Amino acid sequence: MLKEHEGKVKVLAGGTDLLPSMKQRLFTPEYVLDLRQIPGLGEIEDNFQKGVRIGSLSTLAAIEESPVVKGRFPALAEAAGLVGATQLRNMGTIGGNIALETRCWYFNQSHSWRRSIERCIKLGGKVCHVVKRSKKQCYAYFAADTVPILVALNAEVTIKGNGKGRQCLLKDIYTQEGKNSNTLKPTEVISEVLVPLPDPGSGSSYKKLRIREAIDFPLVGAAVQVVMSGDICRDAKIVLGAVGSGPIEVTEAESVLRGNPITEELIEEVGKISQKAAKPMPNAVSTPEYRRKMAGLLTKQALREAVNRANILE
Amino acid sequence: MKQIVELTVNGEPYEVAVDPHRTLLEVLREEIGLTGSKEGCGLGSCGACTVIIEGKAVLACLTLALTVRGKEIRTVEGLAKGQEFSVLQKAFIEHGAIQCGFCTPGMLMSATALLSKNPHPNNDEIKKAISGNLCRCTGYAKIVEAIRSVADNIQKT
Repeated sequence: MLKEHEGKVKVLAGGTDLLPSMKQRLFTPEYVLDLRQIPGLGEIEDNFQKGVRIGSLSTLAAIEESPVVKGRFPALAEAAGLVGATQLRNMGTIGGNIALETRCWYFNQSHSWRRSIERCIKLGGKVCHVVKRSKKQCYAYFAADTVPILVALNAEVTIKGNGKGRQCLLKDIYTQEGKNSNTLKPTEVISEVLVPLPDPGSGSSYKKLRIREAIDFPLVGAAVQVVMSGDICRDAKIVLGAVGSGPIEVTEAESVLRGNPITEELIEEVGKISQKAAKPMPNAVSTPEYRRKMAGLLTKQALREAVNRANILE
Repeated sequence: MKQIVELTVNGEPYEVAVDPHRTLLEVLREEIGLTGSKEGCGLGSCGACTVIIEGKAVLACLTLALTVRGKEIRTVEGLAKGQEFSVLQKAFIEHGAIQCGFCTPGMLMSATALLSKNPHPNNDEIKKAISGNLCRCTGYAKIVEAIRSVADNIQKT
Protein backbone atom coordinates (compact mmCIF):
# COMPACT_ATOMS: atom_id res chain seq x y z
CA MET A 1 0.00 0.00 0.00
CA LEU A 2 2.91 2.28 0.71
CA LYS A 3 4.15 1.68 -2.82
CA GLU A 4 0.74 2.20 -4.39
CA HIS A 5 0.23 5.60 -2.85
CA GLU A 6 3.87 6.62 -2.65
CA GLY A 7 4.22 10.30 -1.90
CA LYS A 8 0.66 10.58 -0.59
CA VAL A 9 0.69 8.26 2.42
CA LYS A 10 2.14 8.51 5.91
CA VAL A 11 2.42 5.66 8.40
CA LEU A 12 0.75 5.91 11.80
CA ALA A 13 1.95 4.22 14.96
CA GLY A 14 1.31 6.09 18.23
CA GLY A 15 0.34 9.29 16.44
CA THR A 16 2.09 11.52 18.94
CA ASP A 17 4.34 13.05 16.27
CA LEU A 18 2.32 12.54 13.10
CA LEU A 19 -0.93 14.04 14.34
CA PRO A 20 0.51 17.28 15.74
CA SER A 21 2.46 17.66 12.47
CA MET A 22 -0.68 17.11 10.44
CA LYS A 23 -2.63 19.56 12.58
CA GLN A 24 0.07 22.14 11.88
CA ARG A 25 -0.09 21.17 8.20
CA LEU A 26 3.58 20.19 8.10
CA PHE A 27 2.40 17.05 6.31
CA THR A 28 -0.84 16.72 4.41
CA PRO A 29 -1.02 13.07 3.34
CA GLU A 30 -4.07 11.80 1.50
CA TYR A 31 -3.78 8.47 3.27
CA VAL A 32 -2.65 7.42 6.72
CA LEU A 33 -1.69 3.77 7.22
CA ASP A 34 -2.33 2.46 10.74
CA LEU A 35 0.56 0.10 11.49
CA ARG A 36 -1.13 -1.11 14.66
CA GLN A 37 -3.38 -3.28 12.49
CA ILE A 38 -0.33 -5.43 11.73
CA PRO A 39 -0.09 -8.13 14.40
CA GLY A 40 3.12 -9.13 16.10
CA LEU A 41 5.00 -5.83 15.95
CA GLY A 42 4.40 -4.96 19.59
CA GLU A 43 6.26 -7.70 21.39
CA ILE A 44 9.29 -7.54 23.63
CA GLU A 45 11.12 -10.84 23.57
CA ASP A 46 14.06 -11.97 25.63
CA ASN A 47 16.16 -13.94 23.17
CA PHE A 48 18.66 -15.10 25.73
CA GLN A 49 21.63 -15.77 23.49
CA LYS A 50 21.20 -12.90 21.10
CA GLY A 51 19.73 -10.18 23.27
CA VAL A 52 16.33 -8.56 23.50
CA ARG A 53 14.09 -8.17 20.47
CA ILE A 54 11.73 -5.23 20.73
CA GLY A 55 8.95 -4.94 18.18
CA SER A 56 8.73 -1.49 16.65
CA LEU A 57 5.18 -0.96 17.85
CA SER A 58 6.07 -1.58 21.51
CA THR A 59 4.93 1.47 23.39
CA LEU A 60 7.47 3.50 25.31
CA ALA A 61 5.46 2.77 28.47
CA ALA A 62 5.73 -0.97 27.85
CA ILE A 63 9.48 -0.67 27.38
CA GLU A 64 9.80 1.52 30.48
CA GLU A 65 7.99 -1.09 32.56
CA SER A 66 9.23 -4.30 30.94
CA PRO A 67 11.00 -6.51 33.49
CA VAL A 68 13.14 -7.88 30.65
CA VAL A 69 14.36 -4.43 29.57
CA LYS A 70 14.73 -3.14 33.14
CA GLY A 71 16.75 -6.20 34.04
CA ARG A 72 19.09 -6.24 31.08
CA PHE A 73 19.27 -2.59 30.00
CA PRO A 74 18.02 -0.32 32.81
CA ALA A 75 19.30 2.75 30.94
CA LEU A 76 17.04 1.92 27.98
CA ALA A 77 14.01 1.54 30.25
CA GLU A 78 14.90 4.87 31.86
CA ALA A 79 15.37 6.60 28.50
CA ALA A 80 11.95 5.35 27.35
CA GLY A 81 10.53 6.64 30.62
CA LEU A 82 11.96 10.11 29.97
CA VAL A 83 10.13 10.61 26.70
CA GLY A 84 7.28 13.11 26.89
CA ALA A 85 4.82 12.31 29.64
CA THR A 86 2.67 9.42 30.83
CA GLN A 87 -0.06 9.68 28.19
CA LEU A 88 2.47 10.20 25.39
CA ARG A 89 4.39 7.10 26.48
CA ASN A 90 1.18 5.05 26.55
CA MET A 91 0.63 5.95 22.92
CA GLY A 92 4.11 6.49 21.46
CA THR A 93 6.18 3.60 20.11
CA ILE A 94 9.88 2.81 19.93
CA GLY A 95 9.65 2.73 16.12
CA GLY A 96 8.14 6.17 16.16
CA ASN A 97 10.89 7.47 18.44
CA ILE A 98 13.59 5.97 16.21
CA ALA A 99 12.01 7.56 13.13
CA LEU A 100 11.06 10.79 14.95
CA GLU A 101 11.05 13.86 12.74
CA THR A 102 13.88 16.29 13.49
CA ARG A 103 12.78 19.53 15.12
CA CYS A 104 13.37 23.23 14.80
CA TRP A 105 11.41 26.18 16.06
CA TYR A 106 11.04 27.51 12.53
CA PHE A 107 9.60 24.17 11.39
CA ASN A 108 7.40 23.02 14.29
CA GLN A 109 4.95 25.87 14.01
CA SER A 110 1.42 26.23 12.76
CA HIS A 111 0.60 26.86 9.14
CA SER A 112 -0.36 30.47 9.80
CA TRP A 113 2.91 31.15 11.68
CA ARG A 114 5.00 29.69 8.88
CA ARG A 115 3.09 31.62 6.22
CA SER A 116 4.61 34.84 7.50
CA ILE A 117 8.21 33.80 6.67
CA GLU A 118 9.93 32.31 3.66
CA ARG A 119 9.58 28.53 3.26
CA CYS A 120 12.61 26.79 4.70
CA ILE A 121 14.76 23.98 3.34
CA LYS A 122 13.08 21.31 5.48
CA LEU A 123 9.76 22.27 3.93
CA GLY A 124 11.14 22.15 0.41
CA GLY A 125 12.09 25.82 0.22
CA LYS A 126 15.38 27.55 -0.33
CA VAL A 127 16.39 29.21 2.94
CA CYS A 128 17.39 28.18 6.42
CA HIS A 129 16.29 30.61 9.12
CA VAL A 130 18.80 29.13 11.57
CA VAL A 131 21.95 29.09 9.46
CA LYS A 132 21.42 31.91 7.01
CA ARG A 133 24.22 30.99 4.66
CA SER A 134 22.96 27.42 4.21
CA LYS A 135 21.81 26.71 0.68
CA LYS A 136 20.78 23.06 0.98
CA GLN A 137 21.56 21.70 4.44
CA CYS A 138 18.87 21.65 7.10
CA TYR A 139 19.97 22.09 10.73
CA ALA A 140 16.89 20.73 12.48
CA TYR A 141 17.93 18.84 15.60
CA PHE A 142 17.62 15.18 16.47
CA ALA A 143 14.99 14.89 19.20
CA ALA A 144 14.68 11.17 20.05
CA ASP A 145 15.53 10.07 23.60
CA THR A 146 15.78 6.33 23.05
CA VAL A 147 18.19 6.50 20.12
CA PRO A 148 21.40 7.68 21.85
CA ILE A 149 21.23 4.83 24.36
CA LEU A 150 20.21 2.31 21.70
CA VAL A 151 23.24 3.34 19.62
CA ALA A 152 25.48 3.15 22.70
CA LEU A 153 24.15 -0.38 23.24
CA ASN A 154 25.02 -1.33 19.61
CA ALA A 155 21.38 -1.92 18.73
CA GLU A 156 20.45 -3.29 15.31
CA VAL A 157 17.32 -2.43 13.42
CA THR A 158 15.26 -4.48 10.95
CA ILE A 159 13.52 -2.51 8.23
CA LYS A 160 10.94 -3.95 5.85
CA GLY A 161 9.37 -2.69 2.67
CA ASN A 162 8.54 -3.68 -0.89
CA GLY A 163 8.65 -7.35 0.08
CA LYS A 164 12.27 -7.02 1.16
CA GLY A 165 14.00 -6.65 4.50
CA ARG A 166 17.28 -5.15 5.60
CA GLN A 167 19.13 -5.22 8.87
CA CYS A 168 21.86 -2.89 10.03
CA LEU A 169 23.24 -1.09 13.04
CA LEU A 170 20.70 1.50 14.17
CA LYS A 171 23.46 4.08 14.04
CA ASP A 172 23.81 3.60 10.29
CA ILE A 173 20.33 4.77 9.35
CA TYR A 174 21.04 8.35 10.40
CA THR A 175 22.33 10.89 7.88
CA GLN A 176 23.28 13.76 10.27
CA GLU A 177 21.21 16.08 8.09
CA GLY A 178 17.96 17.69 9.20
CA LYS A 179 15.68 17.35 6.18
CA ASN A 180 16.19 13.69 5.32
CA SER A 181 17.45 12.59 8.67
CA ASN A 182 17.31 8.81 8.15
CA THR A 183 17.62 6.42 5.25
CA LEU A 184 14.10 5.01 5.51
CA LYS A 185 12.44 5.09 2.12
CA PRO A 186 8.75 6.10 1.93
CA THR A 187 7.88 2.45 1.28
CA GLU A 188 9.76 1.12 4.33
CA VAL A 189 8.82 0.60 7.96
CA ILE A 190 10.87 -0.38 10.98
CA SER A 191 9.78 -3.80 12.19
CA GLU A 192 12.02 -4.43 15.19
CA VAL A 193 15.08 -3.46 17.19
CA LEU A 194 17.54 -6.01 18.53
CA VAL A 195 19.61 -4.98 21.52
CA PRO A 196 22.49 -7.45 21.84
CA LEU A 197 23.53 -8.87 25.18
CA PRO A 198 26.08 -6.58 26.78
CA ASP A 199 29.50 -7.96 27.66
CA PRO A 200 30.09 -8.86 31.30
CA GLY A 201 31.19 -5.83 33.29
CA SER A 202 28.92 -3.47 31.31
CA GLY A 203 27.10 -0.49 32.71
CA SER A 204 25.10 2.18 30.93
CA SER A 205 23.25 5.41 31.58
CA TYR A 206 21.21 8.08 29.79
CA LYS A 207 20.85 11.66 30.98
CA LYS A 208 18.35 14.13 29.52
CA LEU A 209 18.29 17.90 29.83
CA ARG A 210 15.00 19.72 29.39
CA ILE A 211 13.46 22.84 30.84
CA ARG A 212 10.51 21.10 32.51
CA GLU A 213 10.53 17.65 34.04
CA ALA A 214 7.99 16.26 31.60
CA ILE A 215 6.52 16.77 28.15
CA ASP A 216 9.54 18.58 26.66
CA PHE A 217 11.85 17.17 24.00
CA PRO A 218 15.53 17.01 24.99
CA LEU A 219 17.79 20.04 24.79
CA VAL A 220 20.69 17.64 25.32
CA GLY A 221 20.80 13.85 25.65
CA ALA A 222 23.92 11.93 26.72
CA ALA A 223 24.13 8.14 26.60
CA VAL A 224 27.13 6.16 27.82
CA GLN A 225 27.93 2.47 27.87
CA VAL A 226 31.16 1.22 29.45
CA VAL A 227 32.65 -2.24 29.81
CA MET A 228 34.78 -2.43 32.92
CA SER A 229 37.44 -4.89 34.08
CA GLY A 230 38.03 -3.91 37.67
CA ASP A 231 38.73 -0.20 37.38
CA ILE A 232 40.06 -0.39 33.82
CA CYS A 233 37.64 0.70 31.14
CA ARG A 234 37.89 -1.92 28.41
CA ASP A 235 35.42 -0.29 26.07
CA ALA A 236 33.17 2.74 25.96
CA LYS A 237 30.40 4.19 23.82
CA ILE A 238 29.38 7.82 24.19
CA VAL A 239 26.47 9.14 22.14
CA LEU A 240 24.93 12.61 22.23
CA GLY A 241 21.39 13.49 21.22
CA ALA A 242 19.65 16.79 20.46
CA VAL A 243 22.89 18.67 19.74
CA GLY A 244 23.09 17.84 16.05
CA SER A 245 20.90 16.60 13.24
CA GLY A 246 21.59 13.01 14.20
CA PRO A 247 22.97 11.06 17.17
CA ILE A 248 26.63 12.01 17.61
CA GLU A 249 29.08 9.31 18.65
CA VAL A 250 31.97 11.01 20.47
CA THR A 251 34.69 8.65 19.21
CA GLU A 252 37.55 10.79 20.50
CA ALA A 253 36.24 10.53 24.06
CA GLU A 254 35.77 6.78 23.61
CA SER A 255 39.43 6.36 22.59
CA VAL A 256 40.58 8.39 25.57
CA LEU A 257 38.73 6.01 27.90
CA ARG A 258 39.63 2.69 26.30
CA GLY A 259 42.25 0.72 28.24
CA ASN A 260 42.55 3.28 31.03
CA PRO A 261 41.55 3.41 34.69
CA ILE A 262 38.66 5.81 35.34
CA THR A 263 39.94 8.82 37.26
CA GLU A 264 38.31 12.16 37.91
CA GLU A 265 40.85 13.77 35.54
CA LEU A 266 39.86 11.37 32.79
CA ILE A 267 36.18 12.06 33.37
CA GLU A 268 36.85 15.81 33.13
CA GLU A 269 38.72 15.31 29.88
CA VAL A 270 35.87 13.24 28.47
CA GLY A 271 33.46 16.05 29.44
CA LYS A 272 35.55 18.64 27.59
CA ILE A 273 35.77 16.49 24.45
CA SER A 274 32.04 15.83 24.54
CA GLN A 275 31.31 19.52 24.92
CA LYS A 276 33.33 20.24 21.77
CA ALA A 277 31.61 17.45 19.84
CA ALA A 278 28.17 18.92 20.51
CA LYS A 279 26.93 21.14 17.68
CA PRO A 280 23.65 22.67 18.82
CA MET A 281 22.10 25.41 16.72
CA PRO A 282 19.92 28.35 17.78
CA ASN A 283 16.71 26.48 16.99
CA ALA A 284 15.54 25.37 20.42
CA VAL A 285 14.68 26.91 23.73
CA SER A 286 18.13 27.47 25.27
CA THR A 287 21.34 28.92 23.81
CA PRO A 288 23.82 26.77 21.90
CA GLU A 289 26.51 27.81 24.41
CA TYR A 290 24.47 26.48 27.34
CA ARG A 291 23.60 23.29 25.55
CA ARG A 292 27.27 22.67 24.65
CA LYS A 293 28.30 23.08 28.29
CA MET A 294 25.48 20.85 29.43
CA ALA A 295 26.46 18.21 26.87
CA GLY A 296 29.83 18.03 28.63
CA LEU A 297 28.24 17.93 32.06
CA LEU A 298 25.63 15.31 31.19
CA THR A 299 28.30 13.13 29.58
CA LYS A 300 30.28 13.20 32.83
CA GLN A 301 27.17 12.36 34.86
CA ALA A 302 26.22 9.51 32.55
CA LEU A 303 29.79 8.21 32.56
CA ARG A 304 29.99 8.15 36.36
CA GLU A 305 26.65 6.37 36.61
CA ALA A 306 27.57 3.85 33.91
CA VAL A 307 30.82 3.03 35.69
CA ASN A 308 29.04 2.64 39.04
CA ARG A 309 26.50 0.31 37.48
CA ALA A 310 29.22 -1.77 35.80
CA ASN A 311 31.02 -2.20 39.10
CA ILE A 312 27.89 -3.14 41.00
CA LEU A 313 26.97 -5.82 38.51
CA GLU A 314 30.41 -7.41 38.43
CA MET B 1 -15.86 9.60 3.10
CA LYS B 2 -17.61 8.95 6.41
CA GLN B 3 -17.50 5.53 8.00
CA ILE B 4 -19.97 4.17 10.52
CA VAL B 5 -18.12 3.36 13.71
CA GLU B 6 -19.24 1.84 16.99
CA LEU B 7 -17.53 3.33 20.01
CA THR B 8 -18.07 2.09 23.56
CA VAL B 9 -17.84 5.02 25.95
CA ASN B 10 -18.34 4.59 29.70
CA GLY B 11 -19.93 1.23 29.02
CA GLU B 12 -22.47 2.59 26.51
CA PRO B 13 -22.36 1.80 22.77
CA TYR B 14 -22.55 4.76 20.39
CA GLU B 15 -22.86 4.47 16.63
CA VAL B 16 -21.46 7.49 14.78
CA ALA B 17 -20.62 8.40 11.20
CA VAL B 18 -17.14 9.96 11.09
CA ASP B 19 -14.64 11.11 8.51
CA PRO B 20 -11.28 9.34 8.86
CA HIS B 21 -9.49 12.51 9.92
CA ARG B 22 -11.68 13.20 12.96
CA THR B 23 -10.02 12.82 16.33
CA LEU B 24 -11.59 10.97 19.23
CA LEU B 25 -11.80 14.27 21.10
CA GLU B 26 -13.87 15.85 18.32
CA VAL B 27 -16.14 12.83 18.12
CA LEU B 28 -16.67 12.65 21.89
CA ARG B 29 -17.46 16.33 22.14
CA GLU B 30 -19.27 17.05 18.88
CA GLU B 31 -20.94 13.81 17.80
CA ILE B 32 -21.61 12.10 21.12
CA GLY B 33 -22.07 15.25 23.20
CA LEU B 34 -19.66 14.32 25.99
CA THR B 35 -17.99 17.68 26.47
CA GLY B 36 -16.17 16.81 29.69
CA SER B 37 -12.92 16.11 27.85
CA LYS B 38 -11.36 19.45 26.89
CA GLU B 39 -9.17 20.73 24.09
CA GLY B 40 -6.34 22.73 25.67
CA CYS B 41 -3.65 22.61 23.01
CA GLY B 42 -4.65 20.00 20.46
CA LEU B 43 -1.02 18.98 20.14
CA GLY B 44 -0.37 16.60 23.02
CA SER B 45 1.29 19.09 25.34
CA CYS B 46 -1.34 19.78 28.01
CA GLY B 47 -3.34 16.64 28.88
CA ALA B 48 -6.74 18.37 29.07
CA CYS B 49 -8.13 15.78 26.65
CA THR B 50 -6.95 12.75 28.67
CA VAL B 51 -9.26 9.74 28.50
CA ILE B 52 -8.71 6.12 29.49
CA ILE B 53 -8.58 3.44 26.80
CA GLU B 54 -8.02 -0.18 27.86
CA GLY B 55 -6.88 0.97 31.28
CA LYS B 56 -4.28 3.47 30.03
CA ALA B 57 -4.41 7.26 30.10
CA VAL B 58 -4.16 8.53 26.53
CA LEU B 59 -4.74 11.80 24.65
CA ALA B 60 -8.00 11.96 22.73
CA CYS B 61 -6.80 14.91 20.64
CA LEU B 62 -4.09 12.77 19.08
CA THR B 63 -6.22 9.65 18.63
CA LEU B 64 -8.02 9.18 15.32
CA ALA B 65 -11.56 8.05 16.12
CA LEU B 66 -11.51 5.22 13.62
CA THR B 67 -8.54 3.60 15.34
CA VAL B 68 -10.45 2.98 18.59
CA ARG B 69 -13.57 1.27 17.29
CA GLY B 70 -14.36 -1.68 19.53
CA LYS B 71 -12.24 -0.41 22.44
CA GLU B 72 -13.45 0.47 25.94
CA ILE B 73 -13.20 4.23 26.33
CA ARG B 74 -13.69 5.94 29.69
CA THR B 75 -14.21 9.67 30.04
CA VAL B 76 -14.72 11.92 33.05
CA GLU B 77 -18.48 11.56 32.63
CA GLY B 78 -18.10 7.90 33.56
CA LEU B 79 -16.55 8.48 36.96
CA ALA B 80 -19.69 9.43 38.86
CA LYS B 81 -22.41 6.87 39.51
CA GLY B 82 -25.61 8.74 38.75
CA GLN B 83 -25.62 11.76 41.05
CA GLU B 84 -22.90 10.36 43.29
CA PHE B 85 -19.38 11.67 42.64
CA SER B 86 -16.55 9.17 42.80
CA VAL B 87 -14.24 9.16 45.83
CA LEU B 88 -11.59 10.90 43.73
CA GLN B 89 -13.99 13.61 42.54
CA LYS B 90 -15.09 14.27 46.13
CA ALA B 91 -11.50 14.48 47.25
CA PHE B 92 -10.75 17.07 44.54
CA ILE B 93 -13.67 19.18 45.75
CA GLU B 94 -12.78 18.82 49.44
CA HIS B 95 -9.11 19.65 48.94
CA GLY B 96 -9.63 22.75 46.79
CA ALA B 97 -7.98 21.02 43.84
CA ILE B 98 -10.32 22.79 41.36
CA GLN B 99 -10.21 26.46 40.40
CA CYS B 100 -11.27 27.13 36.81
CA GLY B 101 -11.85 23.43 36.32
CA PHE B 102 -10.45 23.18 32.80
CA CYS B 103 -7.61 20.79 33.63
CA THR B 104 -9.76 18.83 36.07
CA PRO B 105 -11.26 16.18 33.78
CA GLY B 106 -7.79 15.32 32.44
CA MET B 107 -6.33 15.28 35.96
CA LEU B 108 -9.12 12.99 37.18
CA MET B 109 -8.56 10.56 34.32
CA SER B 110 -4.78 10.44 34.81
CA ALA B 111 -5.31 9.92 38.54
CA THR B 112 -7.95 7.25 37.93
CA ALA B 113 -5.64 5.38 35.58
CA LEU B 114 -2.86 5.58 38.18
CA LEU B 115 -4.98 4.34 41.09
CA SER B 116 -6.43 1.45 39.10
CA LYS B 117 -2.95 0.18 38.42
CA ASN B 118 -1.24 1.30 41.62
CA PRO B 119 -3.63 1.90 44.55
CA HIS B 120 -0.82 3.01 46.87
CA PRO B 121 1.43 5.38 44.93
CA ASN B 122 4.04 7.50 46.65
CA ASN B 123 4.19 11.24 45.98
CA ASP B 124 6.72 10.84 43.16
CA GLU B 125 4.48 8.31 41.42
CA ILE B 126 1.48 10.65 41.75
CA LYS B 127 3.42 13.55 40.29
CA LYS B 128 4.71 11.39 37.45
CA ALA B 129 1.19 10.20 36.67
CA ILE B 130 -0.05 13.78 36.28
CA SER B 131 3.15 15.09 34.69
CA GLY B 132 1.36 15.24 31.35
CA ASN B 133 -1.47 17.39 32.72
CA LEU B 134 -0.90 21.14 32.94
CA CYS B 135 -2.75 23.39 35.38
CA ARG B 136 -2.50 27.19 35.21
CA CYS B 137 -4.50 27.89 38.35
CA THR B 138 -3.73 25.73 41.33
CA GLY B 139 0.02 25.19 41.39
CA TYR B 140 -0.65 21.44 41.54
CA ALA B 141 -0.17 21.04 45.32
CA LYS B 142 -3.85 20.56 46.16
CA ILE B 143 -4.30 18.21 43.22
CA VAL B 144 -1.50 15.99 44.51
CA GLU B 145 -2.96 16.18 48.05
CA ALA B 146 -6.38 15.15 46.80
CA ILE B 147 -4.98 12.13 44.99
CA ARG B 148 -2.78 11.34 48.00
CA SER B 149 -5.81 11.36 50.30
CA VAL B 150 -7.63 8.84 48.12
CA ALA B 151 -4.54 6.64 47.87
CA ASP B 152 -4.15 6.68 51.66
CA ASN B 153 -7.74 5.65 52.18
CA ILE B 154 -7.91 2.78 49.74
CA GLN B 155 -8.14 -0.45 51.72
CA LYS B 156 -4.73 -2.03 51.96
CA THR B 157 -5.37 -5.68 51.09
